[in-house]
Amino acid sequence: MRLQDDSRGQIYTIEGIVASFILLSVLLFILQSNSIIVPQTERAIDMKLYEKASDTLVVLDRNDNDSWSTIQPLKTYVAGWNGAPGEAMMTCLDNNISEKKMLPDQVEYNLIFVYNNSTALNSSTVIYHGIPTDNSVVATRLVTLNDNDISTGSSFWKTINATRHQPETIEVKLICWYL
Amino acid sequence: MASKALMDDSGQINLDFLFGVAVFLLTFIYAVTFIPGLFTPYQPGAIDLSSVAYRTSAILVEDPGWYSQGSVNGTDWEDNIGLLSRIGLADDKEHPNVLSQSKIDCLNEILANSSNYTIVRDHMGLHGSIEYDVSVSIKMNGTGTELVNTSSWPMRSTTNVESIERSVLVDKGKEMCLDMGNDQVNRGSLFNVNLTNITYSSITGNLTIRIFNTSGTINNVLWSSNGANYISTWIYGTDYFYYVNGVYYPSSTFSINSNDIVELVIAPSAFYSDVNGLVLNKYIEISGTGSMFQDSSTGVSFNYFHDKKYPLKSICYPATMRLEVWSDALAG
Repeated sequence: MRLQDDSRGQIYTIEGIVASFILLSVLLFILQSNSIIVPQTERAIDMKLYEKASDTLVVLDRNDNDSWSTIQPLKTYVAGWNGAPGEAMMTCLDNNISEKKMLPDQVEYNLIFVYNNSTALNSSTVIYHGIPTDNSVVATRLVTLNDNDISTGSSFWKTINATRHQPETIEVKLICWYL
Repeated sequence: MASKALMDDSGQINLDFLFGVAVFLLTFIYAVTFIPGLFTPYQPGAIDLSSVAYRTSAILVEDPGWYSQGSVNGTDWEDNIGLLSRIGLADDKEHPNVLSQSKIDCLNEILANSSNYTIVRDHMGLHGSIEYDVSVSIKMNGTGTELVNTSSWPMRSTTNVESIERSVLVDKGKEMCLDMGNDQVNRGSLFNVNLTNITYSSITGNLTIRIFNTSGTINNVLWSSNGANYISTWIYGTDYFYYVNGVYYPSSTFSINSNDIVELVIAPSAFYSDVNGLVLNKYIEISGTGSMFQDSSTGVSFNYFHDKKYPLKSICYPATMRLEVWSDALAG
């Protein structure tokens, strides 16, 4: 009969099954395989810069009583700061960060102290190297000056502390960005 | 014939089929695009090398490591290499980013045998379900001296490498720090250090006295068993020697400038034991010129190991640790 002989519209069974197996196995292979990637996203690059900035503050903020180093402890700089940006004391800190290569060459930074001067919270730029770009990172470290540190420190802290007689807590903010 | 070829409709896509596929594809693309998370469970897992690099750097820089065998355990794995369970280079938990020179030296020693690389890698936590490779470099800032024997580590074999840099301090060991510029009273040409009540057996390494913030000439280093009669039997170069700004000085006398740092190193072989097992050379006198030293009056001496005014301090220099991580396990 003509109807039985008509081969149009039929699946070629073997080819169809083989093709679907190939497709399925490729899909399965892709889904099962792991790949190792090195993300070059902004996030990964910022993470590295943040780690460097944070390390810099950690390394600077060490205890002078049990270690000696070519770099002065952060507390000494903070206690010696006289309240004005860009003074000699901070040039030393500047040198510690840049000349001792704490931060990579192509990185620029600002340093800010945030402290309470009995009336309000003050934010003072101590080292200024320019306006941070959009992708800058901020590392912070808290430094506490007790009576002993203040008495051997600058007149600036003595004036602030004269009426309060309590430890001064200063937030040191290091802002870094790629040039 | 040309007309036969034009009329032949075998091998042509059916218009109905084309339309059907187009509708299906449009719907499919719409579904994939506008329903977020639909295919998330079926996405291939990507292993992020930067988190592996960060994790390894954190273990090395912020952790002192661990050795363990049952109830015997501790962080000084460099003295118990056989029981090593985790490699960390920090001095202790309280001082992250301060690396111990003795741990770095020990790491170099282990890696001197190239077959030990896999042991080191495994103890950094880099051999779990995936096998990574690693190389570490620690360079002193300024001088650029490399502390790690980089040839012991494998060369990276792929371009898929992640690196991370950490700023650290390298702890070179404890020294008695004499800052001679602090005190302008009681100045003179002598400075006395004592080792009273120190057992002879406890002196196992060099004793180092670091002198800075002064100027003049150091002439001699003498010792005494009673604090009164000082004798000069110590030979320069074997019993004691100087490092000036980190460099060995070939002569026993030299002049210091105010910005020089002098390290007086006394070798353990210079000390003798008395009948009670204590150090016989109880008093050490450093003699210089003019008013080089503060606290310079005869009879006043400062204990090397536990003086309050001149305590032993860890000598730290800034350095940069660089770590590279890659993996061949899933490459290609």
